Amino acid sequence: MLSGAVLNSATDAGIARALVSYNGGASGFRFTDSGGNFHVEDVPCGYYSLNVSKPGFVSEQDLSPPLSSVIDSAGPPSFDDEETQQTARPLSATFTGVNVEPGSSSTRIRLVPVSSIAGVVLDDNSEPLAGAAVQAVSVKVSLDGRDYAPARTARTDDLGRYAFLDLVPGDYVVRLAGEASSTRYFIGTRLNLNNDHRGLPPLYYPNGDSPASASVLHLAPGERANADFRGAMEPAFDIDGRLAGFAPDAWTQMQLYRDGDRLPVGAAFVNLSSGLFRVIDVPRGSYTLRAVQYHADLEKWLAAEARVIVSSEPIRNIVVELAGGADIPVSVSYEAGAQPDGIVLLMLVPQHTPSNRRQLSIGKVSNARRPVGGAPEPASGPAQAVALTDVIPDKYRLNLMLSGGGTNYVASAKFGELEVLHGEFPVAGGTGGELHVTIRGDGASVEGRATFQGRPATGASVYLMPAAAGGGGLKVDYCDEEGAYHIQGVSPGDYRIQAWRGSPTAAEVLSTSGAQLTLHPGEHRTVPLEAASGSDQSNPGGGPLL
Amino acid sequence: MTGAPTRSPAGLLLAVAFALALPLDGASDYFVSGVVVDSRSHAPLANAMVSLAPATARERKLEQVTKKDGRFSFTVSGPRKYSLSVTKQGYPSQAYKEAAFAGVSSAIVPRDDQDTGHIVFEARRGSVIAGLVKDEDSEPVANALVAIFQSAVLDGERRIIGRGQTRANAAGEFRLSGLPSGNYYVCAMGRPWFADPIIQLQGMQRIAARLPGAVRTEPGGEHREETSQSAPKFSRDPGFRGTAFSTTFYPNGQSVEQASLVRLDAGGEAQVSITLPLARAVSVTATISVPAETSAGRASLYKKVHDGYVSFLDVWISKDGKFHFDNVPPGSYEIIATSQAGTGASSWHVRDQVEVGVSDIEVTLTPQSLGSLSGRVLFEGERPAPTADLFVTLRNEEGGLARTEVSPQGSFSLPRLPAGRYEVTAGNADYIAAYFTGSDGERLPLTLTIPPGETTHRDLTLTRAVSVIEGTVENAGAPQIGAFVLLMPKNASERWAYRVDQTDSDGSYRLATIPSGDYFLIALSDGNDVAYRDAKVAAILSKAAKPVHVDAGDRLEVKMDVVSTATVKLGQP
Repeated sequence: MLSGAVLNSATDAGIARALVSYNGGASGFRFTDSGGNFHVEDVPCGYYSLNVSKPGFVSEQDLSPPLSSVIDSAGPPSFDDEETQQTARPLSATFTGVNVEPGSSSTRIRLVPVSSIAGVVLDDNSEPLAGAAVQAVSVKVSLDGRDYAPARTARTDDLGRYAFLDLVPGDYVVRLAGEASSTRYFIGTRLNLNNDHRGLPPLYYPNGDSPASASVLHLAPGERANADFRGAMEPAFDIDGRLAGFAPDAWTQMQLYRDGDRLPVGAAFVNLSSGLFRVIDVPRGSYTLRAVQYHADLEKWLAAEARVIVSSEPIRNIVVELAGGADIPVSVSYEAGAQPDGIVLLMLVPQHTPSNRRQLSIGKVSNARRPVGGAPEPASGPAQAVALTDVIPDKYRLNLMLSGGGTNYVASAKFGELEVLHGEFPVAGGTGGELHVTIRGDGASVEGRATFQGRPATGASVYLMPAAAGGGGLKVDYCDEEGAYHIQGVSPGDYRIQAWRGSPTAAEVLSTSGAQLTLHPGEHRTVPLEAASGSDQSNPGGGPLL
Repeated sequence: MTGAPTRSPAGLLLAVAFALALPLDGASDYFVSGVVVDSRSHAPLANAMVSLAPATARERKLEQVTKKDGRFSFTVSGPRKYSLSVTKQGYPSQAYKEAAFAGVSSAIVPRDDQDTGHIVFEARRGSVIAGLVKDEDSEPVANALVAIFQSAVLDGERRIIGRGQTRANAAGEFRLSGLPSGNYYVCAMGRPWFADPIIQLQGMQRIAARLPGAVRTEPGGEHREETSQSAPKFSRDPGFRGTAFSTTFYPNGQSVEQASLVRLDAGGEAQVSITLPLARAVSVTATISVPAETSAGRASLYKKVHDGYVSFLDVWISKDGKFHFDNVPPGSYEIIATSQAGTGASSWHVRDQVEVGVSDIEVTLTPQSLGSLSGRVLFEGERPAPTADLFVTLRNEEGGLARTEVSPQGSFSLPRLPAGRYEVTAGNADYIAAYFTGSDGERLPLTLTIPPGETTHRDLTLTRAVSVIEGTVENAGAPQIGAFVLLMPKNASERWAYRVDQTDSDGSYRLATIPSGDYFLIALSDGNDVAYRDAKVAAILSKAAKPVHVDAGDRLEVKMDVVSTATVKLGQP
């Protein structure tokens, strides 16, 4: 018999109606009873993998995410506030395994209860502030110290209340971001809104103007924290104008981004016949006003960004010129002995319209290795005239991957005169510009053997990390039977290196100094390593994490 | 959702008169002052923004924020009509005595013989429907979709109007605020949190069952869960009841006919809890049978709620025209599928009823190409300077509406029209549609047939309709403010000929752009819930009303006594 109990890790109480699915000599699912217990009669003996889930609970792995998730979140997260409100959070699953033998005892599986933050937002008259955007920002360690990743966005109700009910336990700051972003359509030329010309500047709980001045809420599993705000309303002004190059009746969204802020704010009204628009109650500050249209008949995106500085009066009659996507020609040059082998995979990830990624692969496969991510095999033969097509105005991050290139590494990526290998860069409407990638062949390499308690660290993972953010990027290799590893094509610079058995958490990797080394162009270094033990040993053989 | 401004016809129609009067006045000052109170508690409201604007020049508004005593006081140079409105947190922006059902309100008219210094503005707080969506085990249904519908008389017809929808939070709680008072239906739908993992498991099980040695399931037949010798035995939880929730209307109906109305007072809050029962779900596979070249598109599975719809599931349709909805609980639905192409031979549109029972179904939908209408707007006589705020509306025989705004260049375009017969209305505060102009300049009637797959070009001629009826409404010799003035055509099929207004603070009203013809005119004490387009109601009203004949260019002055809405006994529908 396969049996067990699903328990709340904070209270040890049983969790009722959790879903337990099992797979092995037999498969199926059970819901736990009111005491958190489940059992399946008549299953063959042997190993079963179990998958347990229940809303309101996460797995222990979620508390200390593997490094890969930190690397992922280093990119621009999605800030689509409508999506964060309307899409249920994916259910967290806890995986475990159990051996069913005659007389084997029942298994105990612990799930971690989620935490929550709730509060009330009042204005300076102590009246509830409805429709304000409140954001929970997760505080994580990253390559460059603290990293603030927006986790959830909520909107206050008519009583000024907001709540984040399903936060993964951890560290958070909370901020009041202003009027929640919305785009509504109007008809005619008159827009009688009777708005009150008051707006809300961003505020970090309890009373700061930046993440650094905010109180960090340390949420233990199951803990409910309170964060009330008193927003000081400021005089605010309307921005009105007209969209030019406008597709009538196409889906339209207008959003306002305060400088240095990724959360859209502002209540916008747009006339879909004439392109007239108004964004109401904008407090003083410098902003980017962004308009996006999707024309379904033409399957075409249009976008525009305009700089707006609001100081002491309404902004009237600005013209925001929409533009379709531009084609960005891409060229690659090979220097310092680089052979044009392998594939360069480029991906442009937009900040505001994440669904609108643009991707391109250049080069040919010189051996059997396929690019990471299963990119399509490009046509072989002479260099193609290549371009990233239909790139609409936005801020983009360039993801560049090189595969099968031996000692090659990406030395630079220039968009016009701008180095864009790290960080975000703007693409304006119509202008395009060219993207030029330089690949050098004098990459450094690091190799050696890793041991664990005197024996070869078979399957351990070796992390070669830039000593400072913005370096050559993280490289990982896995030790073979003899504990040997080999990392090549490393951009010259300062690094630290560490081997891990099991899966280290992000915090573990980032807080371990490892061996320091400076790599020069073309240098080959041999570094013996002693593997450290990662906290998650569910996969002790290691194996690919990234 | 549109942010369409509510407009007072009385206000807009005065544009010309006001422009002429402007240089002459300014001699005498008047007070417009009073107090803002909550309509239920009658307590003064602090921190309310009160704005007063000439009814014809709203952008020239004066604003004040009330203190604890709720008082406001403006000095204006009259006499002219002013629109008074209030905005406050928790209170929808509202005009003085605004009647939401017809978009009319009462203007303030300062004049020597009028007291505009003691106005009591009864602000109606937005009402709230809040509650909990849970499953049969009393566990919250996170992310459940809650849609509410109001049963109300709008534009003279009793209708079920969608008043919004929201999603429940992780605790199953939802809250819809800022609602008008009235009677509501509440509907909830959701997807169990365990649906996806279980569907995935069952899918894997089916794949395993098809491994060599398995008994194949017959195409189109029931999925028999026979396992091969190599596939492991699959076992469901003995208490398993399904992977979908039945859409439920408060309190526990499967359709709106089985639902109870939730009564909501102005500023009131109703608590509504809904339990969603689990159901075995099936899949609905559909094929759009379109010849030759087609466009991709989108299909939605809707729950129909009288005239309103709640989107239950949405899918994209590729060019092969096949799509399916998974995990659909039993019930009555409507599929509406529309191509991405808005017009032409590759465009299509179809709507069909589907009854979903206990087994998977396949449907074939035969759509029609979409038509479209475009043209220019012409004017009888002189063309007005701006063609702003001019709309063209098409109405088909099923009551479906398509509306567009005329561009500043004077053209209009209505894509995505299902083929059929349409009636056309157009105009603004000064103009109404007179006729279509054919290619040889001939006059064509204001009805037309839109053929499928074609773009129809028609120019529409508007006429400046100068027929006006104005006057005052009195109650025992005193001006009656807030009376509902209704002009009904004798021939009820002239749907476009109805005109309504609400009397201003001096009892005055004004009905304009009236086509020539025979009418009934009546002033009711309360226009709320008067379904004047209903034949029975219209018959009662016409007995109490004044018959009026309007010729082109007429400017009639009609003084009326108010009729108490209660005494005409319209009956409760």
